[in-house]
Amino acid sequence: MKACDHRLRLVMAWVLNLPALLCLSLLCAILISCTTTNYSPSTLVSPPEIIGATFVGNKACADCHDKLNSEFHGSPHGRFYRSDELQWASLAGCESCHGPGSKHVKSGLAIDIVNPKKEPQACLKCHVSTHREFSLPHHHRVLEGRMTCTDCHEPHGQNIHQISGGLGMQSRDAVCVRCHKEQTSPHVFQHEAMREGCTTCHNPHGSVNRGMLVQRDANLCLRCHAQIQNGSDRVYIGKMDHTGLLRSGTCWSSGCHSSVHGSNFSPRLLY
Amino acid sequence: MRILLPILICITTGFSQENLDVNQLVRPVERHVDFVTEIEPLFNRSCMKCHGDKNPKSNYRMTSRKLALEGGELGVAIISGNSEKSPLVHYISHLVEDMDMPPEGKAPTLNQKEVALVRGWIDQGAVWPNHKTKIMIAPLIRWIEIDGNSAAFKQHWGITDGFTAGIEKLAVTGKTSSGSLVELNGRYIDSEKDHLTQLRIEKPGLGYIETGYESWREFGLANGGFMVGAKSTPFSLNKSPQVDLKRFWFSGGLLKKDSSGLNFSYDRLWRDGQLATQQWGTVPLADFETRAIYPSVNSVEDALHRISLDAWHEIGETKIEDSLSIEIGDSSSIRNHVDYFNFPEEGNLPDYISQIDNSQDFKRGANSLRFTRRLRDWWHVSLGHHFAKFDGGGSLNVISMFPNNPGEAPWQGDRSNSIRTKQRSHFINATTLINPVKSLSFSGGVQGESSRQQGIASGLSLGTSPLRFASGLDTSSIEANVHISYSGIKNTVLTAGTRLRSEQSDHREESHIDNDWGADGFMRETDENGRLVQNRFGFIWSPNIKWLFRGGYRWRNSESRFKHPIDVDLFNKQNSGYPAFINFRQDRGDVVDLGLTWRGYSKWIPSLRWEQYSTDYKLSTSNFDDARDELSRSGDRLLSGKHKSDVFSFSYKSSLFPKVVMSTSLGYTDTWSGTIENKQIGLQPYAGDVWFYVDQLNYIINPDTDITLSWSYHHASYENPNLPQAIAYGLEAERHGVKCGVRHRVGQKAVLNLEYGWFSNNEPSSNSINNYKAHMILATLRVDLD
Repeated sequence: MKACDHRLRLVMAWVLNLPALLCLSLLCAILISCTTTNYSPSTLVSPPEIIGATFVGNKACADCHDKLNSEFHGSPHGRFYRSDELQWASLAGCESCHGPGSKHVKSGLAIDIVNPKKEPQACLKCHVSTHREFSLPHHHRVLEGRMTCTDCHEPHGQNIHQISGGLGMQSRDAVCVRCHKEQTSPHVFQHEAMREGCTTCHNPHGSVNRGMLVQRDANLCLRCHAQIQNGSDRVYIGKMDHTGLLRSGTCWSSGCHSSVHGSNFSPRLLY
Repeated sequence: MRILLPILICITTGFSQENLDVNQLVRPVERHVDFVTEIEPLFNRSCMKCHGDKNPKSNYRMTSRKLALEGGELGVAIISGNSEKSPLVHYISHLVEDMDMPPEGKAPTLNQKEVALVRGWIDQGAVWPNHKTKIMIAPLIRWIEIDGNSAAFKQHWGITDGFTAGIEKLAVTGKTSSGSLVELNGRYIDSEKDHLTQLRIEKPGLGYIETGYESWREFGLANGGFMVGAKSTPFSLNKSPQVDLKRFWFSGGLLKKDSSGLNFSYDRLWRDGQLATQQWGTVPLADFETRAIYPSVNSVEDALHRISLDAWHEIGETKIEDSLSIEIGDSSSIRNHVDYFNFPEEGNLPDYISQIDNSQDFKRGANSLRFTRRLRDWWHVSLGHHFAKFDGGGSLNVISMFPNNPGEAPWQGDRSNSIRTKQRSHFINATTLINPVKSLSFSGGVQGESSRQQGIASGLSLGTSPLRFASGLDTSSIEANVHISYSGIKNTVLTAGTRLRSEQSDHREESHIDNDWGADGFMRETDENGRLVQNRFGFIWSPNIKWLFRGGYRWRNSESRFKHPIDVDLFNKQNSGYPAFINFRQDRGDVVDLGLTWRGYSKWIPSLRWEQYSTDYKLSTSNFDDARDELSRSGDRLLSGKHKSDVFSFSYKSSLFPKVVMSTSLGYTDTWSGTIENKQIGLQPYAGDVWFYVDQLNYIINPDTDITLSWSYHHASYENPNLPQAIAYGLEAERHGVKCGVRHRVGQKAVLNLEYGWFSNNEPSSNSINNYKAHMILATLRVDLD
C-alpha cells in the first residue's frame, strides 16, 4: 500500500511539476533573449566546451595517447565506444569527456583540453543523479573543489587499486582508506560489516542523513542483525532482547554501540 | 638497430644536403619578424603535434629556443642567422626526399609566405623570447548575513558568515629560457582557514619537483539529530564544531624518454579540532526508559607522515610498475557521553559525563607490483601483486564525572594501555584485455586475496577488574570478473559482465573479565563461507545520431553460511556467546537502468533516466538459551529487510535562444526500507522521498558581459516511523540555494563578477532548530596579466 502511495505521488508530482518547471524555464529564457539578437559566443562557459576548438575524433587522440587508447575498451566508460567516426566524437569518444581537441592537438598544452580531474562538471554532465547527491546536506566536498571524481574513480580503468574494470581490479575500499584511517584501521573487535564494504552503510556522494548514511534509523542495522526466534514476538540481537531498545535511538547513537566501525575494548562496540 | 637507423638517416641526409638546390628556397622576408605573433602560431599548427613535449618524433622538441636549435636524432635543425643552411628550412620546403615536414596528412604544410617568414626569423637570429609569464589573480570580498542556525549553514555550504576578504585564486605560469615550466598556485581565505600555496617546476622530458601547503576547515552541526517533541534548547552545543585539516607535501619525478619514470612524494597531514557527533543521554519518560540523542563533539588530533615511491619502466611492449607507500601516524580522540537522570531543563548540567580518551599509533605499508604486456595490438595481459601490512598500538581510558556534584572525585572506568592490532594482506591478480576485432572487446581477470588480522588488549574493567580481549580473523577469497562489449550490430552496443566471488573466513573472539562477582566473558569461533554472484547486461542503441537509448540490468546475490564450532560463555555453557546467532545471511537484489537522450535539435538536448534498486535481506538464526527467562529458543528464518528505491532524472542543456545557455537537472528518489516481519514490534519502515532540482542559466548580453543564475533545491520527506513515545526518526527538510550575478570584462585583462546569493533551510523535523535564511553578496575580480 505504501509503495502504491509512493507511485501515485510520484506520477502526480511528475504530471504537475515537470511541465510547470519547463514552461517557467522557457518563459524566462524567452523574456531574457528578446532584448537582443546579436549572438556572440561567450568566453565564460563551463566544460567540456572549449572556445574555438572543434572535434577531431579518437584517432587523433590515439596518436599520442596510444596506451591509454588501447586499454580504454576494457574500462567502464569503454562500453560507450561506438566507432572512430567523427560524428560520435562528442558522444562516445575521448572528447565527450575532455572536450573538443583541435586546439590541444595543435598546441599539445594541457590548458587547451578539459581535464575532468580538475573539473568535476565534466563528469557530472552525464552523472546527473550523482550531481544531485553532491548537493545534499551531507556530502563529500566535490562541488566545493576540495575533492575531484578521480580521487576515488579511475575513468580509464587502468589502476590496479582503484574501482575499475578492464586491466585493473580492485582492493575493496582502498580509496576510502586513504583518508578515513580511523574507521578503516583494524580493531580488536571489528564490525563485520566492514568486510562488506563502506558503501553497505554509506552513500559516498551524499545523503540527507548524517555521516552520509543510506538510512537514518536502525532499519539499516536490522538488515543483518534482526534476530527473531521461532515463535517469538521479540527482536533479539546477539541473544539479547532489543525490542524496547529499538525505540530508544539508533544503534550507533543511543549509547550502546557508539564505535560502530570497531572497538579495541568492547565486543559490543560500546566505545 | 633503433640507434643505428637515425644515424644512418642522418648520414644519408647529411650527404644529400650537400647536394641540395637551395636556389629553390623562397626568399626570406626582410622586415622584422615577430616570433610570438608570426612564428609560434605556425609551429603550434604544423609542428607541435609531433615535436611537442609528449613523445617527440626523432626526439626533437620545439618547445624552447635551445631545444629547437639543438635538434634531435637527426642533428642540428636550425642554424641561427643562416636559414639557407638550416635543415628545418629544407624540410619544410620539401627539398629533402622522404623528409617532408610536416608529413602529409599529419598537419597543414607551410605555404611559401610562411616559409619566407621562418627564413626571415632564422636570419634575424631566431629570436625566441622567453615564454610569457601569465599571472591570474582573483581577489574576493564576501559578506554573508545569517538569520538562524549559522552552524547548519556552514556545515551545508562550507563557508562562513560575516565579512570575508581574500584571494580566491592565484595562478602564475611561465617558461624559463631552458624550457622549464614554472607554475605557482595559491588561495587565501583566512576566515575559513582556506590556504593553498603550490609551486611546481617541470622540465619536459626530464622530470618535475613540486611542493606545497594546503589547509581548510570543515564545519559540523551544533545540535542533536532527532528531536521531534523534545525541548530543543538544552540540546544545542551553542558553538560550531570545526576541524582544521592541513597538508604539506613535497614530490618529485624523473622521466626518461617516456620509457621509464620515477616519482617520489612525502606528505605530512594533520587534523585538529572537534568533530560533531551524536551521543546519548537517558531520559526517563512515563512508563519506560527512552533515550534522546544529544549533541556532542569528538576532539581529535591526528598526524600522519606518508612516503610514496612509484617507479615504472618499459622494455619493449612490457611495462613494469611498482608502487610503495609507507605511513606512520598517530591519533587521539576524546569524546563525551552525557547523561541526565531527569528530562533536562534549559541550563541544567548533565548528571554525569563519561569521557572516553582513545589514542592510537600505527605503521602501515603497502607495495604493488604490476607487469603489463601488449602481446599483440589487440591483446593486453597484466599480472599484479599487492602486499599490505598494518601494525597498531593504542590505549583507552574512561572516566565518569559529575558536573552537579563538583566535590565528588571522578570515577575510573575501563582502562587499557596495551592494545595491539596487526594485519597482513596479499592480493594477486591476472587480467587480460582482448580486442580481436574492432567491434568486440573482452576483458577479464582473476584475483586472489589472503588476509590475517589479529588483535589483543588487556587492562582493568571499571578500574579494578583485570580483563583481556583477543581476536583473530583469517580470510581468503578468490574473485573472477568477465566483461564483454560488442558493437558489431548496426547502431547498437551490447554489453554483458559477470563477477563471481568466493570467500572463506575463520573468525575468533574471546573476552575474559575477572570481576568481584566472578569471571565473565565469552569465547566464539565462526567459520564463514560466502559466495557472491553478480551479472549485468546492457545495451546502447542509437538508430541515428539524434537518438540514444540505453538500458541495463544488474542482478546480485550474496550468501554467507556461518558455523560456530565454539560458542560458549566462561561457564562453558554452549550457545551462550554473544555475537554467534546467525547461521545464514543473504542479500539478493537487482538494478534496472533505462535512459534516453535526444539530440535531434542541437540547441536543446534533453535526457531522461530511470533507475530502480531493489534488495531483499534474509537471515537464519541459531538456537539459543534466553538468559532472561532461561527458555531455549529455536532458530528461525526471516526476511530481515527489504529495500526499494526509484531514481528519476531529467536534464537538458539548452541554447534555444541566441543569448541564453541553460542546463537543468531534475531528480526524484523514493525509498522504502523496512524489517518486514518485525514491523509490529520493532521499527516502522523507513520511507520517504527526495526531490532535487539544479538549474544554471547564462544570459550573454555581449561578448564582455553575461548574467548568471543558478538555483539548487531539494526537499526531503521521510515519515516519522517510530512507535508512540519513542524517538522519532523522520525527516522533513527543504533547502534552497539561489545565486544570481553579472560578469563583466573590464578592458582586456579583467573580469568582474558580482553575485547575490540567497540560501534557506527549513527543517520542521528538527523543531526548526536547523532553520536559517542567509543573504550573500560576493565580488571577485579576476585579473589576467602577461
